[in-house]
Amino acid sequence: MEKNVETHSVDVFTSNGMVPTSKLDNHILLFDSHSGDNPLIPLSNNDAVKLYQMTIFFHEKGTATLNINGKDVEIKAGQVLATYEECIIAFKNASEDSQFFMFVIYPETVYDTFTDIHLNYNKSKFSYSYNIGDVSPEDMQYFKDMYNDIKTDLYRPEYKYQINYVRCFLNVIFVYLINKFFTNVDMQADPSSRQYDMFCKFMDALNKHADKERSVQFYAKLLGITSKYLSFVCLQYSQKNASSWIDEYVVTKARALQNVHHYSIKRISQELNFISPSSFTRFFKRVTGNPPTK
Amino acid sequence: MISQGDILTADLVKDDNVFFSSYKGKYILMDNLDDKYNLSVKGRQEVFNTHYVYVTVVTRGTLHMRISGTDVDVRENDYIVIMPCMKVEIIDSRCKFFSFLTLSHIVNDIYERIGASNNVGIRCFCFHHLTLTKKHVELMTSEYNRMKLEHARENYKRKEVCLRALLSAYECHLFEKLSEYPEHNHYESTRQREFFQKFLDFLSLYCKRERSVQFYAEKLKITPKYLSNLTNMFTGFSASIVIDQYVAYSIKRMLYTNEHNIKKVSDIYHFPSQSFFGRYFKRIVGVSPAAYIKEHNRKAIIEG
Repeated sequence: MEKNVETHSVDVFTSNGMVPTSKLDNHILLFDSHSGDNPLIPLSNNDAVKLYQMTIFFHEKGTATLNINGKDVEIKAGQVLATYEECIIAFKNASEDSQFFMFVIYPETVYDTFTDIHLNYNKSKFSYSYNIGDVSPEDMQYFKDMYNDIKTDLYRPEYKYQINYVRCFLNVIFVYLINKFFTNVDMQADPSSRQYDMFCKFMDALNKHADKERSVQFYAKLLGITSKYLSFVCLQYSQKNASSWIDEYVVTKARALQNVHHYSIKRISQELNFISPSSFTRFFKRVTGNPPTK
Repeated sequence: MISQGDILTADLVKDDNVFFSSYKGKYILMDNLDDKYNLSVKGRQEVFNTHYVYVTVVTRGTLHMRISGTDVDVRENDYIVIMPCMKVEIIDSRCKFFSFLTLSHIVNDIYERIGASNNVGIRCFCFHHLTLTKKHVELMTSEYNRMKLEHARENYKRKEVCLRALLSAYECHLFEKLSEYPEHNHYESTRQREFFQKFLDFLSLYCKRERSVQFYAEKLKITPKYLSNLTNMFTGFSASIVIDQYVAYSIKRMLYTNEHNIKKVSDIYHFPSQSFFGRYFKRIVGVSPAAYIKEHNRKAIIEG
């Protein structure tokens, strides 16, 4: 039974009997608890799934617990959680008084929105990661109004500029998130720059070969550069060096296999081309600090 | 040299009966919607607006304006957009209104982005006057208020992107129904008006090659003197000034996109030399092309 993890990106938001408050097919889904019901409840204690959409979760009241990429994350009142493509998420539970509104944005729309704000969206820079941060009450109200406007707008019969209208507000929300979470990251990478090109190629190679190869030399050789230069390029664009990129990628892949497919450690170590389960355990412990059994 | 458009707002800043907010002179908002302002609007002297697309919506009462010699009463639920190169004068009125002025290049950019440029390109020397439904005006007011809110938020990186996005949202809501409203016609369709419209059409076709009154008069098969009489009737300027302003407007648009360097632009517009082009531009706009690019170009939005 050879299954590829990549094919298991499920559209949990439409397949699980969840009804979005409002939606524009293949662009955006909206969820909220303003009507009194929590639409996330049917999801609680479900298996973890890999999302291919981006989600922005504004939490107004109460607390909610999620498991993201194998880590438990608690969201308190007045916080925003943004998860990017390919996060592995399980919704655990939410307190009774939990109130939230949430945007689920499809990849093409994310890409378009980035183009609108003159930034190059690089999937590899965001995938597998999430951000969580506090939102001031004024800003929360501001975004809630915006959310409600999008909601009422999507209810109306489709008109020519609907998606443009939604994207305008997404621009504002994205700029807010970028200013909040990515102040130190070079978002304005020049696509014509050779170094940036190299970085993107490295990310692609990582995607392809991470389950077979874990040495910086291999990737450097593949790109035809020295491993020192590869690390320099990675630092330039992500503030992480090449080897930690590789380690993290492998760990996320392992977590995916564990959470989504419930593979045994032995099976995972085979899938990821480790010599033995114990060497996999050692690797995992070195990177995350915990053994994989946790 | 003709006085430039910024004066349109200069004396507003001192007026405490109007809310006024400006972001770097690119996006300007003003209104008296709040209850603390009373209905009366002070008259303002005539100004020649070359930079901005000037949009006004009246929610109550009537606003009296004079646009390039034409008296216009903007009544309740009316929407009026005045394109660049028009003289605008406000006569004492009683009304609740909101208006915003945006640099014409930015508005053009927005039209292109939301895919509306085919229906509603920006043309100089004209204005559009429509009556909207009450419901639509309420919708526009709420969009306007959101822009106001965004203006009030303290400065942050890429604020301009947000302002532009909200303006786009506003335009989306407007265009959705725009075709349903008939336009008020302030000009009788006389022969003179027909000639003037034709003149503008020829201008948009030939402005990159020809800048002489003689050429356009020949095209229209009328004498240069009669052409000047016509432009005087509809704009208050002689034909040569109208041509110069039109050319300057279209050059400014090209400089804003900043796709070509100044040498290339001067070639596109068939100027004999770059220095001649520089002098011509400076005579009409008041700044050199290089200085203009420095202040207004698309890239500035990204870095702002």
